[in-house]
Amino acid sequence: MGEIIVVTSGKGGVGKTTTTANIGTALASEGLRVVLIDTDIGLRNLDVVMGLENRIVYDIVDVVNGNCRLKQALIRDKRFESLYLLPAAQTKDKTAISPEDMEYLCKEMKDDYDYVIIDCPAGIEQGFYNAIAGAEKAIVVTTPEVSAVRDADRVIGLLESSDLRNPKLIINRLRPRMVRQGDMMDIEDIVDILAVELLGVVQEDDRIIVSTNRGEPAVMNLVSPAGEAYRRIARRIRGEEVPLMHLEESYGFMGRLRKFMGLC
Amino acid sequence: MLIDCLNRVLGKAAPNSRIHARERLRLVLVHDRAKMSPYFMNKLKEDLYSVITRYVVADADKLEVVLNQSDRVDEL
Ligand SMILES: Nc1ncnc2c1ncn2[C@@H]1O[C@H](COP(=O)(O)OP(=O)(O)OP(=O)(O)O)[C@@H](O)[C@H]1O
Ligand SMILES: [Mg+2]
Repeated sequence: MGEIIVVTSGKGGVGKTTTTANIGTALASEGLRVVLIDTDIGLRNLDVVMGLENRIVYDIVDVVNGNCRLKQALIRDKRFESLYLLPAAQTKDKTAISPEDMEYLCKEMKDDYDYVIIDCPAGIEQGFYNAIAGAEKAIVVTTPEVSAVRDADRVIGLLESSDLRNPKLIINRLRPRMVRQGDMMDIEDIVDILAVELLGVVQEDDRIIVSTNRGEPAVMNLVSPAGEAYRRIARRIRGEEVPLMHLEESYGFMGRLRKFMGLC
Repeated sequence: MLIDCLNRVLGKAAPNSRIHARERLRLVLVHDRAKMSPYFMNKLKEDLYSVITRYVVADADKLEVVLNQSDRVDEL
């Protein structure tokens, strides 16, 4: 019996798709059976982040409309054979599927996969309610900014009133240097204010952009700090206790040198 | 990077916008969670005051309305 997890945020562009791709890839790399569902209809992106955009034949709306069977629309990942993507439709809008459709799809997949991970669109309109309809657990992604945390708070409230209790928090794009300088809210500030359990912290990392360019999630990159953070998050999802990463500005030579000399 | 190091050595104070962020966020969330604008919050305070003074003698300045927040539940 699989676990069905929705990745949501309220505010757009904070890292839901990046998070879905990386957690999914990390779990599949451990041999687990994983399916990722892109529910951002009209603005599909998960296919590109996963590097699977050229393989799409059918999409989620085709499945819901009965144009194809679910198995036909699922795209197998290039790297891990236990990882699949159900892509969003690009030409339709969010009213093309309903919460009942999502509940049905999730039920269909629950037995065949260890994890079903749903990438939610930004906002709190129908797309949000579609994405959360079949989910049993929720992950809320935020960045350390007032507007993103405010929207996360709103979404946590909506999740709880939709019976998705105890959502877990990922703080993305944290910049250790700005936190040290007192110019960015730190982990404790945000966890205190939102009063939810922390699942992990991912720092700002240029390699995220490189990996998106290549269509290869950062967890595949052993020197990417964000990749390491997502690998740890995946292990926590499996129930392991993993300490938070030591946040470093850079793993590079200069960074290590500076740290060695105790300068910054 | 070097500038930051120099600033630190020279003991220049950082602007510390983190505190601003945290405090503004706290306030905004009090209103968001109570589904109440700052305007209505004040109104509530005034009305509470007028009700209370019907029964006891109280000083408006000394009346404090405290919103407590514990684990995502706000209490007055
Ligand atoms: N830790 C990070 N470091 C650097 N860049 C990041 C990080 N996380 C995400 N990004 C970048 O931020 C942008 C938005 O990320 P992403 O598409 O995952 O957000 P989203 O929440 O899915 O957005 P939307 O709401 O539009 O669906 C992307 O360009 C991505 O490469
Ligand atoms: Mg997205």
